[in-house]
Amino acid sequence: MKKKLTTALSLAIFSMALANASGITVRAVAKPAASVFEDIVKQSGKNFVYSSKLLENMKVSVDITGKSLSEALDALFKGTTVGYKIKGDNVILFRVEKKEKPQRQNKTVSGFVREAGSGEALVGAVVRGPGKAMAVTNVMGFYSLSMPEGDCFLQVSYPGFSTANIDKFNLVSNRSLDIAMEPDGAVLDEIVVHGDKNNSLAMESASIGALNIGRGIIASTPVIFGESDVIKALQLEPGVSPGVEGMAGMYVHGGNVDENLYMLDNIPLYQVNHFAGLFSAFNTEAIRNVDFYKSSFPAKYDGRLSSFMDVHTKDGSLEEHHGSVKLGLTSGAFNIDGPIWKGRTSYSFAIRRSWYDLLTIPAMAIYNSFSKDEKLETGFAFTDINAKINHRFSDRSSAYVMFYFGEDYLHVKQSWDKDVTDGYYDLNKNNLRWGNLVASAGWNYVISPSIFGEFTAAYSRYSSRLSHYEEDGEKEEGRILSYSMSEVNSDNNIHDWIFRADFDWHPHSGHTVNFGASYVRHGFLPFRDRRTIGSDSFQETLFNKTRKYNANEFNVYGGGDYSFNDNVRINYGLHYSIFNIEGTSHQGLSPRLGIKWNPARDWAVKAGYSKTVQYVHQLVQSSLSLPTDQWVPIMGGQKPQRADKISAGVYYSPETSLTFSVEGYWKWMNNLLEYTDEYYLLPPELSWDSKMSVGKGTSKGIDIKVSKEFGKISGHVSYSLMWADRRYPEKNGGKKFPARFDNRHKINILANWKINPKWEMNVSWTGMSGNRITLPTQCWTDPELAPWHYDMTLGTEINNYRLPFYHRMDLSFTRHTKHGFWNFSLYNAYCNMNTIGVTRDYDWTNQKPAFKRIRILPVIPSVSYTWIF
Amino acid sequence: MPLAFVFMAGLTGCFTSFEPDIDSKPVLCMNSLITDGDSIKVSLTRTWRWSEGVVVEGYDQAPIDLVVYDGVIKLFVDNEYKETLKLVETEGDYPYRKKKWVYVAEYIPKSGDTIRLEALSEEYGEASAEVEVPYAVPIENVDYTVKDFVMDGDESSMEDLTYYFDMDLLVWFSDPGYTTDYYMFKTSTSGHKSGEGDDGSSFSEYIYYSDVSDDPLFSEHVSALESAVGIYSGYTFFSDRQISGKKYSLHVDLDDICYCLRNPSGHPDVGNAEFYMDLYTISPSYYKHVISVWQSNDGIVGSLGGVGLADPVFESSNVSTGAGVVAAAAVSKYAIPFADIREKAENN
Repeated sequence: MKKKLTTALSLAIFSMALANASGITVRAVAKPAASVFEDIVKQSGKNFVYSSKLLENMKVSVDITGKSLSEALDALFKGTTVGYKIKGDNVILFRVEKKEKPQRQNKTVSGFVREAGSGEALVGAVVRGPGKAMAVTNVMGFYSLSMPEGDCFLQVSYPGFSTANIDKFNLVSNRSLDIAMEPDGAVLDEIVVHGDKNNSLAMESASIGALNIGRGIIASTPVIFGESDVIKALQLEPGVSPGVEGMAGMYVHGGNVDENLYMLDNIPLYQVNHFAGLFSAFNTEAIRNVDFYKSSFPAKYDGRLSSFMDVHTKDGSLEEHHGSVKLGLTSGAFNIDGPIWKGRTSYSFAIRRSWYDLLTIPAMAIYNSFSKDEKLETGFAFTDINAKINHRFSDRSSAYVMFYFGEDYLHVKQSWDKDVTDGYYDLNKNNLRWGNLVASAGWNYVISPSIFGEFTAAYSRYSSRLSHYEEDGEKEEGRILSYSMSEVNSDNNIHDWIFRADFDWHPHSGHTVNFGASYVRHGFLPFRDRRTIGSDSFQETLFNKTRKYNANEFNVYGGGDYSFNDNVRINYGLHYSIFNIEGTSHQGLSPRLGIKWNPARDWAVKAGYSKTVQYVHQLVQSSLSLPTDQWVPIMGGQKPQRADKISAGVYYSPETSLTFSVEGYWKWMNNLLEYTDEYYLLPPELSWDSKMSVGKGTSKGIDIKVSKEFGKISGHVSYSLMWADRRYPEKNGGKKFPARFDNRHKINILANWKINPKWEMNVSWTGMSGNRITLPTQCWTDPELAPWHYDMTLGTEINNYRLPFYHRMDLSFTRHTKHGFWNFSLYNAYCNMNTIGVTRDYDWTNQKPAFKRIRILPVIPSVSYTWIF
Repeated sequence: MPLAFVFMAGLTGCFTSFEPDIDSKPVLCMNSLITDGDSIKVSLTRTWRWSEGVVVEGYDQAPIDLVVYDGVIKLFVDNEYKETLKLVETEGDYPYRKKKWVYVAEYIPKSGDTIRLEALSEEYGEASAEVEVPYAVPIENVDYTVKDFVMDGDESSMEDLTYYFDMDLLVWFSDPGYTTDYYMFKTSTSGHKSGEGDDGSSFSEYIYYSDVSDDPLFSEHVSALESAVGIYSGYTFFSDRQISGKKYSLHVDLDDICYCLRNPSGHPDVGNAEFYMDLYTISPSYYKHVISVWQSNDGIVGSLGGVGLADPVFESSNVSTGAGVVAAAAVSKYAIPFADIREKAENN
């Protein structure tokens, strides 16, 4: 000990003598620390007190020039266990005990995000914790976050709601935390809400082309006849072609109309249109929100090639009863919801029905009063009924039953002298009835704070029934002397029994796993046709054919979302399916991958790949939605339709309420099915598979969008550049042709202006390259074989002509009153009648045959009133 | 429903003339109906762009002459060259067409012949088509009932004599069954005469009636939806797909028959009219064409296609250019003399 102190003192004295005021310069590579230290001591001129053992066996690398003593010592002892203290002219060296940071264990915070007051689950809300902890609420509003114990906070955002901040709390064990969010309209007027969910998803999730829209946006989007419609709201999204003017069509990224999977609370619907497609089957009053995917598809979804849309219906308030009555020009709607057992059980009920038949009944009555021999009855109506009951058994367990019924009904009855007692009579009756029925029950259970399970059993039916009956005969004294009749009945339907289990698992912070399985028992009745003729002397069924098939479909999926760090996140998944029909099994393996990288704070770059498989398809004859557009399974030698899609996007969000996005995609579709050329020459009752052609298609494009979700003025501006084509060996001579809705350019502007608490204005403008049509120009001479004569049409290439540029502006004004609101809207406000087709006609002005554009739908004003209670 | 939409489109729509920027060139069009026992006549024309002008008389402007005069049409029978057809001018058969140019062959076709026509024009290129002349399927029997038979007038007078009645008929035939056959059914009468007798008195004989035949086979091309929305057939074309190899009776209704005779006494030729039941066996090209015409005019797809809501329906052609129909037919006739009808009515 004595020896050590002596050495130290001698060194100190020596160093004082050599003090260097110009700084310390040392260079060493893996040299013994003691020798390097001696160098510093010499140059510093300070007294050093230390134990020589402190530097034993220590090697250092250092390169300093003209540094202060403390800088030199910092550099020398960096990463070692040696510390120092400078006190006046004395420098004391000592050993630093490296303190091990206590390991913080992860704990789980889980719960439900609901709307304050009503208790409605908020689907797709983004819940953020410290660091990379982030979760998105599932269909029941459930979230689960894994975070290090200790001080934590939560921030929850959801479109249309003000951000909920759960201030610092000490997380010492797994805990349950339900969060109630306030709609922003209730508390905010002009404050821009930060952290809205779409922006968050755009910047933070790995998904491309995912959208979550609430009922408010759907209801405020101006549409024809003022009938708010989810599909028409989605038509304003980039990459979505609307199809024919006024219709609720949806052609996503160059896909066909049957390539969208429409779901109501996760249960597929087959027929989603009313009135030939003028309105969709989704009653806005019954909707809570809608999830829409057009590029990156979660592993959970498969079965369609182009898009997935899940409409979540309202659960009903657990606290108080409220509802609304809406009276519009074309339909009326009533909805009510509230608690059955406060805080435990809620109900929700909504009905919508069209008015048309109420208008036609008096019109027919007037007509019939003037017509002595002919009597006419006609009526058309569509109806939607949504009903739901939810019950919470506990914080961990809840269940629901849901019912939906939607139907179109058209009947025409015409008779001549039917009521005469003597003489001839005629009777003609036609009935068409088609629609969906869905009944489902589900049980949701929080198995553990990090695992959520949902178990569903459902029945979904699509049914279409057409009947025609005609009879003519002769009566004498009220007794039928003779008659002849003809009857045609046709049915097509699908019955699906669905059983599924879905799980969300949050194993640790930044990692969410979704997995599940389902079984679907399909019953297809593509057609049942019966034709009967009869008279007073005979009755004969000439044709009675039924095609009926059962199919079994199994699906298993697994996927997840994983954050490598704050900047890199991947979304991965795999969906496997088996479709067995008539002893033949088809399989589908659909991998999904999405990756996101944040190169800078406000920027995100994403890329993704999705494969999808489709086993059922719709036979579509026209751009309208007809009751004969039956859904049929793949049969015989047909293979499942498949699509491979790659997509990439760049996103910029300088502030959380504004997002710029550029998304590109390229999609390859195989085994597509379409009617062959001249299929209409084949017998109507002939099996559909012999009328189909199997082909391929590609689509590619870029979607650009700038959106602002909140504030006094909100909305988006978007532009799409699209290409879509098809190739079928039996169509167009085997040559490639553009798809019908190959709208090259599409621009959409949607704006909502909250003028003041009473008035709101919405405007939408759509401009796009016209649809493509097949326009034959050459005619040939009538061979005069048919009973009537006219000029024949020479076939030409499919979709060889593009209609003129389409543009339209819709306006709506909403006036809020004490008990509800008025809505005044103008469809096609500046009355640009767009071209839907071209016909051959005679131009009497110029005295020559001419091609003529068919332009329809001028400005259409409408008004509705909604009474809220 | 779709018709409602079409109606709505028509109600709110407007039409503006324009010329589409699509290039198109005329091609040869070849039309011919070849029947067992008749000489072959072929109409060779060119196609035309719709806006080029009118093709029939009756408008302010002169019709375009579509006839291809420099055409060469060769006839092959069972793959053997027979002759080159000759262009001749014939009488037109419609008021709007007083003259007609057709290419005529000397060869008389018979059932079972496979006829091939190859046409060539320097300006419009080539066209070819092939058809097999079908065999006639005989009408085996016709059962009929006569209803509401009324005679108005005196048979022995020089004045008008009119018979009013309805007929329900069952026309029996047996489909051969060994191949797909296509048929067309027609009714006709012989009763159209007028003139002056040896004594200088004038006479006449006319028959009017409504053929309301509505056999279900006539509607087999009508889909359930078309039936349900009130689209009827109006056609008497049918196939054997529901009756292949079977004996079948077509249900035929002739209503409001009015057989008008003027001065029948003293003119033995008057009053002997016959009602004919004509069963044509037609070639597939014939059947497909007429069905496509029906689809184009009356079918739902054709109606929607006409206003841009569906792809258009093209009239079917079996000519290589897509323009024209070379069809074939063979006919079987069954005659019912009016005398038999009258006797039956009087015995009822």
